[in-house]
Amino acid sequence: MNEKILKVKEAVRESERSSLKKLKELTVALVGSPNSGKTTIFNNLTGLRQHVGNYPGVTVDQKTGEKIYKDFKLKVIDLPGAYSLTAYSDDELITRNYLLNNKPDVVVNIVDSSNLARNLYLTTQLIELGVNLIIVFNMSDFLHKSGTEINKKLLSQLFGAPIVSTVGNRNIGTIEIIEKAIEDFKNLETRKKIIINYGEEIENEIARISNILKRKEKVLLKYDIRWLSVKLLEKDAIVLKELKSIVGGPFYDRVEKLSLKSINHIKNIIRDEPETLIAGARYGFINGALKESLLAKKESEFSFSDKIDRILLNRFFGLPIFGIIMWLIFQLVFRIGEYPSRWLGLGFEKLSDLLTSLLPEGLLRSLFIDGVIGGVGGVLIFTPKLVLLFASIAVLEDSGYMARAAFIMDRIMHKIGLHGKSFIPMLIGFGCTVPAYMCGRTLENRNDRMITMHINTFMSCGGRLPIYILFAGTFFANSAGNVIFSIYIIGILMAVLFAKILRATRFKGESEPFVMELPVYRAPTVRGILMHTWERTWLFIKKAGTVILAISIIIWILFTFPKIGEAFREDYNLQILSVEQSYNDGKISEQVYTSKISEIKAKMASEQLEFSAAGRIGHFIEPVFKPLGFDWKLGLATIAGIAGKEVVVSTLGTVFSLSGTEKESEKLREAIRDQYNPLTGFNFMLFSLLYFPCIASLVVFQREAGTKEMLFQAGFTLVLAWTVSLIVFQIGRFFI
Amino acid sequence: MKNFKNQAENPEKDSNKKLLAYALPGKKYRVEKIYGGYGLNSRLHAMGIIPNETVTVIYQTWGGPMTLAVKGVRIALGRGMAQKIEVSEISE
Repeated sequence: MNEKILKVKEAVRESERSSLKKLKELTVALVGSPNSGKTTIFNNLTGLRQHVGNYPGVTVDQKTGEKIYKDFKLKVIDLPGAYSLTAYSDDELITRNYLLNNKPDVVVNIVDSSNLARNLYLTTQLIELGVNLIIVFNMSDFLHKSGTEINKKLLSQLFGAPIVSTVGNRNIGTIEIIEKAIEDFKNLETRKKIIINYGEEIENEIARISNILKRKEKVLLKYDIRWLSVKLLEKDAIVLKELKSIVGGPFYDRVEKLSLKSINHIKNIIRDEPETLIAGARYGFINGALKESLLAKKESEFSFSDKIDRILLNRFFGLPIFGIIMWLIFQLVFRIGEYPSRWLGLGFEKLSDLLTSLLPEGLLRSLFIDGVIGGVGGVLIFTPKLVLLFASIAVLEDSGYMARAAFIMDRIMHKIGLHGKSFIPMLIGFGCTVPAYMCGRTLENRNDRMITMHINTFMSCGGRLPIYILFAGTFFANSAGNVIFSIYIIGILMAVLFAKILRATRFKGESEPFVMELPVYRAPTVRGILMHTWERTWLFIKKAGTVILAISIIIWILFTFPKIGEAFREDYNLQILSVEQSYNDGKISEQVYTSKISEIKAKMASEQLEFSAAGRIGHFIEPVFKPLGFDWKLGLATIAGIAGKEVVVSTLGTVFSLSGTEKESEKLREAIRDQYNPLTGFNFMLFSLLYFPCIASLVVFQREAGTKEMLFQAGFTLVLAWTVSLIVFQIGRFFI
Repeated sequence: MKNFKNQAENPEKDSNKKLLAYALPGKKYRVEKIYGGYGLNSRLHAMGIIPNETVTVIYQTWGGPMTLAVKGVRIALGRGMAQKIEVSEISE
């Protein structure tokens, strides 16, 4: 009996052990050019199990994710999109350094297979690096449609890497990638390394340099000698720097001298830089391989896109067409987006009512209704409009039109010292600055990026809109729309002005050369649009969920505490009681009763306000705002607005002693109409336009550009806003 | 490789040379030389624009950016870039 029990226990332990067996891990790096559909495939592989972080010291996102397949755990990293692996841009360097230093188990090269002749260039560089390569022919549906047939087996032999066909935006082929990666990982030894021949002259010099490099063990350990020699002939600045720090002094000098000698030797014979020849040899290799493996080829489908471009890029039609498209988008966002926004507003009202009935009167209820729903709700109401804006932008990007828009805008951007590509973050900035800053990464030149980011604040973001609607609606009634439009225009003019100033002063230097690929026009897929829209919307919601929520609560605390003393409250309660008594005795009508009660409550709220921390801060700060024609209430609302411009309106509501959803209503307009005049109203809109968007935007700014630049942005916008409002008020008073 | 050696000695090609910025739409050209620094050069190479490659000019704005076709891909080039690329006309 004991034996049997022992055996059973053994068996149980055995099965436990095998189910707890650790998953085998492998790292997979995705590399590909910007238009290759790499990100879509990354999403296909990792689904929602993604994490976005930062590369230390650089402003490019590190996107990693996981995929569990059978008994393997794949750690997937999406490296930045790059056309090649030179040292000339952050993106390319990050990719290269990651591959060299982190040595991923498998490298998956995503290639837009409808243009192999060009797109395999990066592949050749990956082969040179000696990584464990898998080539993915993405967009293989287009390849197939064009009638082109490729002998994949032969081509993969020539390239020394397996080839997997996929259609990323329909999630076809994803599993094959995973299986090939795992297969590759298991068969590490059977890899054949392909060498690309650069021609006699260059090969001689490579041999010469390699012989010297081989002698230092440190070098042998870190680099593939052939690759290193090639980089030295290419005069790769980063490799030179690294080499110097590894081997230092005399050896490095010797290597450097030898490289220069080799480079000059080649220049004398061939009349061109080795780098150019090496590039030529890579394409030669590609052409040769394609020639052998291409079975059939039809005329490329591009002519259709070219025909469309003739109209869309046209000097006379291009800009107006672009203008019309922009106008359509704005109509969609602001007119149509108004409906879901309103429904959300109603939803929040109902929620407030529900809480009012469920919770007893007191702090907790106030916290939820005034603080949380008032603050965050005001922000979330914007979400439908943002979703529509981001979806429109996704359609423009996925269809290929965005590149054309950048082309059309390049001329205008150039005039104000910017790059055609600068216009995309500026466009997004009209929705929310946070995703706009992240888009600034498409600009590789730091000066271009800094200027674009600094002036983005003048692209009046969605958060400022409630302020405009409130004040323009209150003071300008029928011409409210035009007044708001004029504010947007002023913003754009400011952007142009400061682009010029910044370019002439802090960010001198040439704008980055304009080179851009114009992809074939393609019908965007619903899946693609949803993915891209969601990515950006999520950033905004996260901001609302965190920063704005936190600050809304802080603001609530500042407004609620300290509480006016018991004595005062007793006083007001007595007043309320006496009015109730009069009503019950029939001495006053219901109407009079209701209005008297509101009056008393308003007085109480107002006194509470003066007593609270917020009130005191407001009065303390008032001198700063007085010269601009703003009283302490507007001043306070502005400060609260640092949380997010959306919060300004709800704070004003609190300041005027309205509670909960009354803030959005006619009552607030009345209060404002009573207290202020049109000049101040317009001035306040101007002020809100000019100073930086919000704390969340500063946080992202700091992440993208560094603390110094963030402080500059905060500082210069505040000074600008204050000065302009000062001038407008002081001059305007004479006309009122 | 041999082509490079013969290039400068061939008189016919010389007379057809011009800068890409002034090339005519619809015509095919051969890239002769790129007068840029290492950064510019390697970026253009990655796009497929290398010496001896054939490019077709698609669209010219005469003073602004232009578009061309190279290796089956459409590329937009700013004026500054286009002025650094020397091409020769290919007679059809």
